[in-house]
Amino acid sequence: METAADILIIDDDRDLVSAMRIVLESRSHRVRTAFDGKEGYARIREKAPDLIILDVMMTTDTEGFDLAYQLRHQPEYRDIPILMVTSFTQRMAEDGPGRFQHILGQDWPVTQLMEKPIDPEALLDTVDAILKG
Amino acid sequence: MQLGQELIREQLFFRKELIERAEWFIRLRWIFVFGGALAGVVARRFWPPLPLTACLAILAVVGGYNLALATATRRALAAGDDKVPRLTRLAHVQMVCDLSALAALIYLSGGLFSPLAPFFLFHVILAGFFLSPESCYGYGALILGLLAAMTAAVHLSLAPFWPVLFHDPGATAPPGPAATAGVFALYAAMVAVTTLITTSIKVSLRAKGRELLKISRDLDQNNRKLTALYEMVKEMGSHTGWQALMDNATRQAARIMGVKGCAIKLLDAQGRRLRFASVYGLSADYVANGGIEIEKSTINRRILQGSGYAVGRIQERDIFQFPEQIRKEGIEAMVCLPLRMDKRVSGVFCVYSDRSDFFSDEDVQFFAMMCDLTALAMAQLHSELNKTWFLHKAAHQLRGPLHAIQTMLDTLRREYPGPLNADQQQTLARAGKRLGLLDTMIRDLLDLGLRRDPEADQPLQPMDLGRHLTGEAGTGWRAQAETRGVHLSMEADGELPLVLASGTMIEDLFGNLIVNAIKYTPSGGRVSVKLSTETDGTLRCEIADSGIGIPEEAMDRLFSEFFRAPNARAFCEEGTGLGLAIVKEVLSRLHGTIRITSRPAQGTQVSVWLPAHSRNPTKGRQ
Repeated sequence: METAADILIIDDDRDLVSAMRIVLESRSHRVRTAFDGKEGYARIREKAPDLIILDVMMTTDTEGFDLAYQLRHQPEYRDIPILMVTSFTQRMAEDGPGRFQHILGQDWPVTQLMEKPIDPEALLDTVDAILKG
Repeated sequence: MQLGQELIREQLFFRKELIERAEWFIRLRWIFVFGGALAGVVARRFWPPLPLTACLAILAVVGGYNLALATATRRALAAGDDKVPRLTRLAHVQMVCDLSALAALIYLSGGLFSPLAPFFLFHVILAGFFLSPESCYGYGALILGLLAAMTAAVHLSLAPFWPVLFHDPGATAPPGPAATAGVFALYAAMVAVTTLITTSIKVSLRAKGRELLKISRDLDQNNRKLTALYEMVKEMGSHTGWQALMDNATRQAARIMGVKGCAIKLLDAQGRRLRFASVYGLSADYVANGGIEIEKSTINRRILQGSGYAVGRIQERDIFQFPEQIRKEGIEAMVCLPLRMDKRVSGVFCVYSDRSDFFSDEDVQFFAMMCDLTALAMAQLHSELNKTWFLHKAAHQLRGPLHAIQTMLDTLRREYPGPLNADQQQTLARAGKRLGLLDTMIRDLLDLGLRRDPEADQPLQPMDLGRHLTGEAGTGWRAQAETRGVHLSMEADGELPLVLASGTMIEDLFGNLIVNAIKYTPSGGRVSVKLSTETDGTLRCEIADSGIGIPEEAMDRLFSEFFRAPNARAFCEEGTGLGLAIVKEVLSRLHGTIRITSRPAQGTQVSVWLPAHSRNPTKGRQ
């Protein structure tokens, strides 16, 4: 059995957050939540989590990406793994003028990407894989 | 190397006349030889003392060396870069030979007083125009020297005196010293004045020529730049992808401006950061800083307020946010200009050079033009993409809650909160299935919406369908067929033409048709996909299945949105009725045609024809 980890979920969909919380807590992970990028960053500053589960489109279209970039440029947070969950597709990125231009052509600043809808089993497997590093 | 070429170009320009006249001189000399001989014979009739044999001998010698010169000239003209120096050397040889021959003829017709003596002056003029001023002075001196030598020789009785042509046939001695000195002084003055006039005209002609050359070079350069700019704009106008457009702009700008690198930086949504959106020629390290914070960058703030920025020597400035990176990158000069889209500065367009003071005022002006045209193309595409974006965003908003419900449902079904009884499980499973269908429907509606918006289309390109269908896409369908227990075969018949399409269109088109065939074929059945070429070169794709078929009365409505044949509904719950509507839209965009024939309970054959773009060049002719 894996050791329990401190996981921060940042997503503006409260129902989805509570479902993910149930799933993750079933494996004894400690789960903290935030509902936008700003609140998420505040949680991270309180205590750096072992893993961040991050949505892309929240208050703004690229809020998740912006936070991920911000963290990647801060030495104290750059090593925190990020699991990005999104309904966002590559085609959306290509068609979204000016909104995602800084994402395309660069490596996405995340450890892993997972498309919604989130399958609970797949979520647990992915989280375990990331935590084992 | 470049300087050497420039010099050669310049020399070619000034010596063009020399090259063009090279053969003319040879012809002129032939005229002189034959005309001279004829004139000698005629003159002898009126002037018996003329030593005709000696004169003809001299003309024969001239003819002889002219033959040699003609060969040498042809060879020199055939030479490459070496042409001008060779022709110049030949010009000197001709000059010395001609002056010697002329001196001999002048001597035989009376020396200093001969009416032929003024012919010397023509040579001074020719030397002035075609050779250097020094050479011209040299030949002037040589002429005076030859005249002085022949006069002295006759006066000192070292050589016999020949009577002055057409003057006094009985004379036995040259005119006295006073007359001789006077005439010689006159020639000296004529030679000096002619030399001075021709060399000074030549010098000013040369200066004017150099100016002309510079103007022509500038014009040439501007013309090339404008042509390149036109090509750039034309290419930008054909882009339907945002990133492709910017990448094209940076690549072309770097090429046209002849610089090390080029970048487009765009403001983020909050207007706080400028991020690299497209970069050409700069290292990954340079762009890895995640963008420039406007608050910390005076320069970028100034550019975003609408004023351009150009710097020739970066070391002298320390107002950059990342001066160390600029130094490491070897950037010495840069020009950054605002990108104005819809009256608002949305970003910055920069060119970087590794040479100090690289950009002239004209360069900056030219880049400003390029920058405005790029912004215009971007603004145009931006408004087109905005329409498409609305569709994406709408679909995304619809799918958000749906995905949350799906995850919540799955959480329940996997019994994370607690155990469920069989009925509860079954009900939740059905709910999950219906949600999946709803998700597919939203995706299909989005596809259909995008297909109906011509501006949302991705660029078409020649595609090899055989390779595309048997590649990654084919693997997915095979897996799907296997799960359903259906045998799927795919084959391409010989050489196939390329068709104009995009990846997503092909997936929308064949994905829907092949997945339909698999979906409506009971386990143990067969689906075959066959690609072939019609005699007129059209590509034909035939998808045949041994499935449930389509009832006659449903045929007419097959391509209507949300229509599903009753037997299809009965056979398979999942289905949006949008698949064939999407197929129809794609076919209309690709100018393709479709025919569906079917017999209930026996199977369906779908034939699709797509016009050929060209023969596949990788394979031989049929």
